[in-house]
Amino acid sequence: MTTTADPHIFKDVACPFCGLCCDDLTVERSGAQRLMVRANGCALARRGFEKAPPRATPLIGSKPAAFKEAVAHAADILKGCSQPLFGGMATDISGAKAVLQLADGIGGVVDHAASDALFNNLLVLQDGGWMMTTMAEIRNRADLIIFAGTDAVSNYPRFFERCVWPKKALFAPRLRNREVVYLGKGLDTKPGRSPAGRRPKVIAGDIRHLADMIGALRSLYHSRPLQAKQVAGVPVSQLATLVERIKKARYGVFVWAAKEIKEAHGELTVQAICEFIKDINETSRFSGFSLGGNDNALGAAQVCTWQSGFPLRTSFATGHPVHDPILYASRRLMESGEADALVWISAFRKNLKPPGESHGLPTIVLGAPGMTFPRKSVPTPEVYIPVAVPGIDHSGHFVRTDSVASLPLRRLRETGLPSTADVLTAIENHIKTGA
Amino acid sequence: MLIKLSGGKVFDPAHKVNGRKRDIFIRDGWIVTSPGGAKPDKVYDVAGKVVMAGAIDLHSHIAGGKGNIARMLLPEEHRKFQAKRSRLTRSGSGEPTMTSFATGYRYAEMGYTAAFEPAMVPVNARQAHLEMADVPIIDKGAYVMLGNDDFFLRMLAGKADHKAITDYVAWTMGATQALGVKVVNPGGISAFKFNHRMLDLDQADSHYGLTPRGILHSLTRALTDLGVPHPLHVHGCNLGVPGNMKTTLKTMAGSGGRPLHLTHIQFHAYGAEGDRRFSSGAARIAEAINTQKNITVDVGQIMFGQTVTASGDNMTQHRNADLASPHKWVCMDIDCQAGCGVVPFRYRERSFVNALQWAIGLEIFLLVNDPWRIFLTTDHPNGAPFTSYPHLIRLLMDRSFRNSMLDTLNKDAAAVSTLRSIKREYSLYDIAVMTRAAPARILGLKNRGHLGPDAAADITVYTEHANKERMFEKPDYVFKDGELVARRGKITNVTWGATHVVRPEYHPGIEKKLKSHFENYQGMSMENFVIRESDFPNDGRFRAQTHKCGKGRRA
Repeated sequence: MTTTADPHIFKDVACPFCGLCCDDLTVERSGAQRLMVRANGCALARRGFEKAPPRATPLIGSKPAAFKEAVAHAADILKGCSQPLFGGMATDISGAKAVLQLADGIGGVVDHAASDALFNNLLVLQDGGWMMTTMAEIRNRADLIIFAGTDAVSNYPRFFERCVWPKKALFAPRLRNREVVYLGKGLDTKPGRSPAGRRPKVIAGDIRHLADMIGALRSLYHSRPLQAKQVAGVPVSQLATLVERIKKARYGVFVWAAKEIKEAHGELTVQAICEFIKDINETSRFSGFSLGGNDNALGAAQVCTWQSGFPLRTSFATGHPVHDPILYASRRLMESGEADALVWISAFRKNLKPPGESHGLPTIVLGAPGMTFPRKSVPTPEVYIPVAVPGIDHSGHFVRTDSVASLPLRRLRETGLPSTADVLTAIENHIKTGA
Repeated sequence: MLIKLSGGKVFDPAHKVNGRKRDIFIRDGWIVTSPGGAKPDKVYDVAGKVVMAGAIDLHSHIAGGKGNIARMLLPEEHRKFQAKRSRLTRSGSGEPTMTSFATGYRYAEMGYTAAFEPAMVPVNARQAHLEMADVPIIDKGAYVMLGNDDFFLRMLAGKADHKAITDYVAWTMGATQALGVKVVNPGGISAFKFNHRMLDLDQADSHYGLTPRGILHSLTRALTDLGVPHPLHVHGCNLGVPGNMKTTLKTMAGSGGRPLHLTHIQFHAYGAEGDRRFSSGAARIAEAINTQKNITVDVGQIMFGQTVTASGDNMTQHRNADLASPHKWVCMDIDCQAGCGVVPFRYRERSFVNALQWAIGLEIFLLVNDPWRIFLTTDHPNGAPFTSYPHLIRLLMDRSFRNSMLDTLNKDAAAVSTLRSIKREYSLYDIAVMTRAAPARILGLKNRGHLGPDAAADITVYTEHANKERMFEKPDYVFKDGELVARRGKITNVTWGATHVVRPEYHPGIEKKLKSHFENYQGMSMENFVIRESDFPNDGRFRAQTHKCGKGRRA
């Protein structure tokens, strides 16, 4: 029998450091705690897994404290609150469940660090719906992939390796003839070149006018007259050529990344794409795919939805869930003073820290070990409790960017740190029983 | 702990007990015959009250991705229905798309002690179980969706040895912690990805050249060979299409005598006659069910009002998307395995089609003779939320009430329906069969759905009332595994039920093929696809209870 102190090679490890949640990593543990990614990682994975053994002392103010004291202090802060904000919410499914349980119990608001981007999509879902696809469908079925305002790889490094240029596909001709198109200037288009050397088409319009490009495509698709000769700085003829290609696609996909949309009201851009996709499906098949889900944003949204009925930005202050994507946005709650405390949860990485708006707000941080709070840039929290990293220090679950697959995260080493769920349950028990 | 329920009128069809006065003893969560000389720790006087096993809903969409899509799509529905937290219970919201905790409480308050999610997508199974782990009190389980997954379709099209297909079915059930297998629009969901818009029973799709009939045959055979207790759970071709009863009749006839469960049969029982080319096929469908003893059905009754249809059948949902009310909808293609479509819908009393759908469901209920082979469902939430069950029971048990409801509907629909002339009224015994004994039997749950010795003490006690809706909506007592969980329609104690699964045996050779399929095509490791009990927190909220398979017919 091996223990978590022995050297060990782990295969098929799922990586929680971006929304793709690649699960083919080989990770080596040397000695007690050092991990190295030996196969199939990317820079984000290496940064995430190969962190030095963590500092693991809770702090009250800037003074080291025992775990119990830190929990008691956090509970005391929360006891007197009328609407504490649970922000960040970067944790595994069990962590998200624990956040919801505590927020429901004491009347808090829940939100995720990535919600601004997430709601670019969710507002579209709430308003009109959409037609979407998933990673394996793109990998096997797509013959046309249009990257709308994103190159995917800048934030989701292995997307092309996994979905665009895999070695094999179930429907091989689709992969052989697969075409990649970029809509937008300044994107890293090198990965768009196929293994056989076919170059991607690049329509180098200004990304700040992505919605205009989509609108023009949709008009051209419906043969509506278009006065403009140029849209977002590109000739309409380029867009017309793309429309002809879209019409011929057996299975086309629009890929976007909600957090990379540059326009104000990004939801309108996403909606323009989604409504265009619905139109195309009147006669042929086309689908949407959204890149996102870092820090398990979709896991948090899924749990919040099945428990409360609403995808985050939900308050339990009145005793039942009340949702509003604008009223209950973290930043607004902190700036307006409507939140009277912040519980900031960032279990995956130490650099996702409480935002500047939390200045002056009593703050409890459940953060990855080694998180620091330099006075100049980050408000000093009242309490900092280091928590185990899901997928390294404890097992759990992570929801992939398409919201369809949840991957199991494994414990790779023993640090003795409590999980997010452990800490929140301890705080909850302390509030209830005073011990 | 010994509990006595004293003097109740017991309805326990599994033991042919029809309203006999009998005491029931519970020891440590289980029903026991006679306690000997032991004195009960607690006695409930239920003299004159009706005692049944806890009810079992064998088809209710309670968990999985499409339910969450429906919730996200309809925040307005969640603003309408809200449940406050209490000392015992968590808060919640929604009715057609009720949240997880509320679902468990509401079922238990209504005397239901188990509900089964009928459309679990394999790659989404982990999430479905994580969600069901937040459904308190009741037992749960799920049927995994097969028959549109490319691994299976490739094997079938490639004329793979049937044993390998059987192994694959068995492996998938184990890997996803399933209790049964469902097929939705066989081959049609895959065909939609190749731009087919319809696929009839004997129509071959353009890519694989497979027919729905061939897919049904293969899956039915696999489950029979494995001895899986629950027959193939079939959502057939052409859901909702006028005239689809012909396809449904052919599907039944084509079963070759093997057990087959046709789900939400109401949506598949339409003729195409009359001025509006939409008519009831209930009589013909019921007649076929009455003669073919290998067939079981659940009804999928519709009720009037706002709901949302959430289905794996994205081909059909896309076809009907324009009917969405409010006008917004979602369709998804899912990971070379499945699909889903979510279309909100408001059934209207004044609509000819909706009124006739309502009548067709009730006609089927009343024309099928054997309550052991027909189950009470609304296909929650597709026909109506499960909270409408007490009303539905009243419609079945009370002819004058039924006819007075018919009077309020679209006149043309009421005029063409035979419903008014049907005299049958369900008895309490019939209700106990169709909501307890029969579902337990068809799911292979040996210790549920009855009140004999060695049954789990899932028990519901009602006060008899002329108004059956009132009687069934707030039972006096509900016991789950011997614990009193609800009293007069209010939760008194929150427990956590089991997850029912079967784990048929398979030849491990199939894993080699699957491993390479997962690596080459699925883009996910097989190791991480397989769901293990140890993947879940050790908090008792995911507790698998494994049921044995029969002998089957495997060589």
